[in-house]
Amino acid sequence: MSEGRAARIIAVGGGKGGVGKTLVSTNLAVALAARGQRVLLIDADLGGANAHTILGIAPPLATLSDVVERKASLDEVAVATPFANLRFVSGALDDISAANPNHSAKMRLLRQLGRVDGVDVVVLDLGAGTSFNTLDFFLIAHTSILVVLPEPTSVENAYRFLKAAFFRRLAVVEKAYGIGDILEIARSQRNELGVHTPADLLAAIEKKNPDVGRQVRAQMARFEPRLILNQALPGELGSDHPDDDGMVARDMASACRRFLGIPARVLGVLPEDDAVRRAVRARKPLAVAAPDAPVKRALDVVADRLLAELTTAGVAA
Amino acid sequence: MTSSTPSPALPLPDQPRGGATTWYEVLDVGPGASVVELRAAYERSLALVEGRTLGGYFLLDPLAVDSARADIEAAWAVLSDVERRTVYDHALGLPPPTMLPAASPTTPPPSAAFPTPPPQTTPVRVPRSPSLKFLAPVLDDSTPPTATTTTPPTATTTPATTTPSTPTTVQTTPTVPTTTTVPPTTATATPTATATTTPTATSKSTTLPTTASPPPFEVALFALDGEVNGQVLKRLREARGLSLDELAELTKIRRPYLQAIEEQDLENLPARVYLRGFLTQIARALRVDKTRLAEGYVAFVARFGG
Repeated sequence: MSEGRAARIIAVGGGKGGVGKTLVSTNLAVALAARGQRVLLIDADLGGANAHTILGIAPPLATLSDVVERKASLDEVAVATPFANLRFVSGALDDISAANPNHSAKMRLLRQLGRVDGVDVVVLDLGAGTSFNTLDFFLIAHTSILVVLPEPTSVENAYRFLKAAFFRRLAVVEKAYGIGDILEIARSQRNELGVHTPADLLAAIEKKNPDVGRQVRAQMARFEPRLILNQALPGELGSDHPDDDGMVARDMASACRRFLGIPARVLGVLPEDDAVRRAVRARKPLAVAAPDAPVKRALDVVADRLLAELTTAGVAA
Repeated sequence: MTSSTPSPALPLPDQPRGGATTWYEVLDVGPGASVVELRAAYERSLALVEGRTLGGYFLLDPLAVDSARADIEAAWAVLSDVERRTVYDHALGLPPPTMLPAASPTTPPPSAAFPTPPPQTTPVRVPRSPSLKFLAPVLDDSTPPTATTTTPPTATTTPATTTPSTPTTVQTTPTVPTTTTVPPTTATATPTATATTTPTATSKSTTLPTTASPPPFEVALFALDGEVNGQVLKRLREARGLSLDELAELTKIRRPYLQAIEEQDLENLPARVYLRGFLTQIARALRVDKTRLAEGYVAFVARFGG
């Protein structure tokens, strides 16, 4: 069925550790599988993998390391899970070299991602930080999800992550369009040209060369990160107060669009819910440990939204 | 006209420099925003870029904060000044406000923007009008999603030149069971229809320029008696033969917002303070009672969102 058609890739990142990336990616993978999608969950948290624990299975012997080291293909290291339609690839558990694959190894892995037979959707659980490896996985995805907590530290890291991702993508676009010189001028004369944000940089490129600027702008407009606000206080969702947790996600998406020139959108708001702690302790996905919990229902809404996008994209493709 | 423009720290830019392309976008408001909405958006935007609200924490580095602040001040300077806003709206292709309050110079224009096109624009922006058979948007699955293919040739795409018809000229189709009579308009819907047909009405609501008034009889057709939810709005739009993009063009509201409103996507809805303004814009574009539509939808969201 999906043979011949590349799988859609969903990446879940967050800049900061402990914001719930693994929780979101794992439970979304389970939810999408429950909706009939053939899902491959990949723990791409190279060096800090633990999605298997959330999933409630033993860490597979073969991991992403083996793919990076060309010992096996992605298909071969993907193991079955207790959930129909869901297969899983574990991240490298303690292999330092795999945590930092060289460029060609990484590119090989990226190319394989969408091409595993019998997979409709690949869900990538990314590690913390803004290393190129993490950013490249984030950027190759069709849907890039950023998990944020309503805390200054998380918001700060999220913006840093988004800006880093933007410039990383620009570097790729730069090669395609041969605009290195323009970028270099823009970078070296940052302050003279007034380049402080991604949007400023695009404007500077456009000023130097309107044609290239327009094309680059169009390319960059396709970077549409989605925000998921995790651990929002449930009683206040929907209020307009600026400090309300629900408002934080909306403010962030709006600020990204207006002042960074990054067309971010809110994908969902997950309420603070003790069910998460219970599920992790039970080493089970929320669908099993807490099927009726508010956070599970909020994740279902996100899964439905993603599914609608996947279906639309599938029809369009 | 007076302006309450705060004194800026930097020379104000001529146009937005961030990701926004209009001053309205800089403040994240619709083009119909009232001065109260503008003021709130202005304060809020400043708090955001200065990192005084959580969502803006370390959004920008210090130099970028100055630049964004100047954009916000410039947006406020233009939009809070009736004359400058009128000029700006014209430059954007938005029709000018027609009913400026004479007595109070500090009072803002009721609304500076309408979905109806300025004279120089092409007819593409005009809603294809003929879906007169579409009645009050009850949730009826038998209702055809769109009526564009059955457009009677007498329909015109330029409301400005349309001779107002009487309700009896409404085209009916057999697919809609309740279309043979004009639905009873409600107490609140009727005065609105009257206000629209009578530019001299003292209604504080914005009156469309007479040259761009939609055919008034259509207003009465949309009673909006039932629940006003996203599906209702979608059907209204489809009955007008408008795509989301076309509605975005008409209302100057970005498509994601329109989509969120139709899909009842709570997290992506505009902030409540803007939602009402957006709904008013949508009501104008769809030529239905804006009070009913806005109140109905806001009430629906309040129930839906708990």
